[in-house]
Amino acid sequence: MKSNKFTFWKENIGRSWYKFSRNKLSVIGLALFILLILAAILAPFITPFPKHAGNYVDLILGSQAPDGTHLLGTDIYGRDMFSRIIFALRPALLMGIMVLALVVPIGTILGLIAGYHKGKFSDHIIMRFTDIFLGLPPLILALAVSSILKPTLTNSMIAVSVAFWPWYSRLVYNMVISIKNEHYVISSELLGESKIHILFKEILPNCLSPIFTKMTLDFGWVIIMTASLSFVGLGEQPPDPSLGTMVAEGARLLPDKWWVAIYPAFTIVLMVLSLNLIGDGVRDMFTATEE
Amino acid sequence: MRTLKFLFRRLALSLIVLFGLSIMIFILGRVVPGDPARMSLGANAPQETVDRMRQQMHLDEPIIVQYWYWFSGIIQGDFGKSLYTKRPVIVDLTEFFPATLELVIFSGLLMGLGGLFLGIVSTKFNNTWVDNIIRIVSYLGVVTPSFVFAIIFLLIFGYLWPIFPTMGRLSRYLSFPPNHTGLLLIDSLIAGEWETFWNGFSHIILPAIALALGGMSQEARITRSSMLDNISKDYILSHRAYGIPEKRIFYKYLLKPSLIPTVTVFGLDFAILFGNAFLVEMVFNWPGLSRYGINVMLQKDLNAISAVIILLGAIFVIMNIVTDLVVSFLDPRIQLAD
Repeated sequence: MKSNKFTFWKENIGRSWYKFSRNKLSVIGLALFILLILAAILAPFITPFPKHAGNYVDLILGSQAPDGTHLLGTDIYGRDMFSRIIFALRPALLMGIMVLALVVPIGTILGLIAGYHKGKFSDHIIMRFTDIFLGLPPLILALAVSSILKPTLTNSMIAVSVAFWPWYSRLVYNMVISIKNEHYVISSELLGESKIHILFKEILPNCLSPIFTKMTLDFGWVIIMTASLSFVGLGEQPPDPSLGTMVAEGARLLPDKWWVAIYPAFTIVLMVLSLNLIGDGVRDMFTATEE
Repeated sequence: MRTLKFLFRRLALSLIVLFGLSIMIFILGRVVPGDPARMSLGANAPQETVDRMRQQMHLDEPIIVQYWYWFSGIIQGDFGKSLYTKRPVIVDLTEFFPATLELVIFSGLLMGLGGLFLGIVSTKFNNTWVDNIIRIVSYLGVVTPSFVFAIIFLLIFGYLWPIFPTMGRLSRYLSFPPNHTGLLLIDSLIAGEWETFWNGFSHIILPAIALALGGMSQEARITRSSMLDNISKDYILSHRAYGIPEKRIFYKYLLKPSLIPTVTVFGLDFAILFGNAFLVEMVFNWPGLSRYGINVMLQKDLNAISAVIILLGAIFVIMNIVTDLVVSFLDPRIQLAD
């Protein structure tokens, strides 16, 4: 049994990769994203001035234009922008991973339960609760929550998660209410399978592809939202490097010291771009082709 | 009749949502460490004054009673006093909200019309260089956050090629026209002050575009893909076989049903503009509700924060209802059930 399962997965992965890789842009996006992850992991080794990621001041070297030593220039405290940007990839990527790890299971499980019990008490409770959180634009909700908490990375994570989970329970809910009337679900109900089995083994696998597609795209949104929080000063605080804070600091130095704002801003765009390109590929991967 | 019933149901549900939102905000506000009475009086106030303040603010009573006092105040438009401006919050809202509303409406118009235009052009010139350029640009538009656009515009049009002012709503040497609507562009037109109108227009254009570009790109992409989906459908072919003029097929039979996804996304994006305005107003020093919102958030001014959030929540909820109504008008097959 086990080896069968293994070959099944192997074949599946091969076919998925074929579908994904037909979109060359998605492959470029994936390569770019892997590069960014590697850069973040290896940050202390590949950056010329790892110390500059922290509380380092050298005012003599402040606000230097990009040159050979400081590829992307320095900020007002004389810290190397290139090193800071690479180090800032770490919290950004960490946020994406942590928020999704928190939000997707919670949203999915609530959506599964509510959808399966449509019309019953638990449906009303869960979905009205979801609606309340959907009653505000996500950014405003995240801003509101983080304004009340202390501005740290963990608290921005909580704030962004509060804004994101209801979208998953909504998505899963809408899928479940159509899937639960399929014959295979009804038949396992008649066989007397447990609710856990029905929810997680029969219904959930059929919801996975939209969830995965949404996850790749949301990774980018989480990064944007984190950057937005720190841009207005409600996110991670200096001296920890964060892309949003760097853009906000640089905005005050425009136009002469343009590099302080523009390079971190482009880094955000690059990250989100790579994730969106991957998202397109993931969507293709799950779409049945008519050939 | 069905529409009326739908409207009634949705309004009732929206009230539940807003009520829930108010509970959530109230609870969030109470989670904050620190004594609100002490915070409003300052650290040096004597204990007796703080105690009297606590009594005035009903902080000694059970939390449900506290909520009741707070909620009944909100219903009457009394959000309490702002610790940041030292004025009743409602006064602040009426002062700052019109500026944001003007920016968002202007931006929303740009977003909708621009997105539609780009989407239609892209479909018409499908697979030519025009289409390719629009597709690349709109892809970049989707992945770029509005505050990055704001910074880039500030750099380009504010400094390198300074053709637009980048700060505030109106140049200092001009005075605001008599207030009718609170919207500067409309008020100046009513007063017939052309110079003020053009000045205000030149001020709003950069923040509005920065705010609109993301949604505009999204609408362009959705309009394009939805039109291309429909263009190969049988009914278009049969219209063509009947000899109906191409132009009429394109705008009447192809465009109208293709607009449904665009309108749905537009409704959501329009509401999201209020969120992104928080960042764009900061960059362009736009004296609106969002900049006020950021300031009160940084000051942890709870009364003002909850007022801003409840106002924006109400707008969001109303926008959702309007979107559903417009979609049902575009596609009679969609029934307004839930």
